[in-house]
Amino acid sequence: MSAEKPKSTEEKKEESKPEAKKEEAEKRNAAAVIIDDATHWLANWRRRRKLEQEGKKVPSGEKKEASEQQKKEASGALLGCKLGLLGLGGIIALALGGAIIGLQKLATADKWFMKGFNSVSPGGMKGGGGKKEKA
Amino acid sequence: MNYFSFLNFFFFRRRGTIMEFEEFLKANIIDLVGLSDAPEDVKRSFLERASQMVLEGIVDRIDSELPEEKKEEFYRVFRQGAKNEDMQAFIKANVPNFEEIAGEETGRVKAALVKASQELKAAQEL
Repeated sequence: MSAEKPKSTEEKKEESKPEAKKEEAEKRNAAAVIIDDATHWLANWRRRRKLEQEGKKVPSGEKKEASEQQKKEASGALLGCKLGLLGLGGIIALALGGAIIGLQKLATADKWFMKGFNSVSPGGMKGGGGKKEKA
Repeated sequence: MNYFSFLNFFFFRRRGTIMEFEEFLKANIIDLVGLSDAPEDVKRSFLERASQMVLEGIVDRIDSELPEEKKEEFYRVFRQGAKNEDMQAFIKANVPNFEEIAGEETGRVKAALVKASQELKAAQEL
């Protein structure tokens, strides 16, 4: 017969701590990598689009810096811009979270803005999301 | 024309099936990138960064679509401490397709994040 005492819940928790910590660190790392990669991907895409639109005019470093600063300020202002009940930042967070149906309920709060979000919901997506007719 | 056509680049597989646009747009980005069991602060900061990316995309689009003479006004209105009424009035008057821009940029960021997460997963599996 084994003399070993069964491990208490506390002991088990202690044992699983390093594992949980490792997993948590991995998730933090993954979140950062995903954001960085997507940011680079989008930046490259925008650069390509701009070059296509404007030809190969590249702004000087100084101009570019001033323009980036202006854009940062503008996106900060947009973040707090109230549209109906919510700020645009909150609306975007909800849209990223897939709460499109919830957003439809807010349509009465500010119709002109919400129309766009409704258009990506079932039956309303331009050019593709509508109900399919039965053959 | 379908303004979500850019999403054609992101035919991705989930649970063995190709994800539909609708399913994609309704899914939570946190689940799509595999962070559903991450700590709350990680999820929150991920969502904040993603929202910031969308806002930057919206500003970039507005910048590229406005005529030169209106760009200056845009940056004059949209700055620190800007008034809601001024911003709303500017958008209503000068950016008639704002809803489309916001919807499209949200979808684009969502798709880019999913793409990045899949690349990360593929690299980890190697």
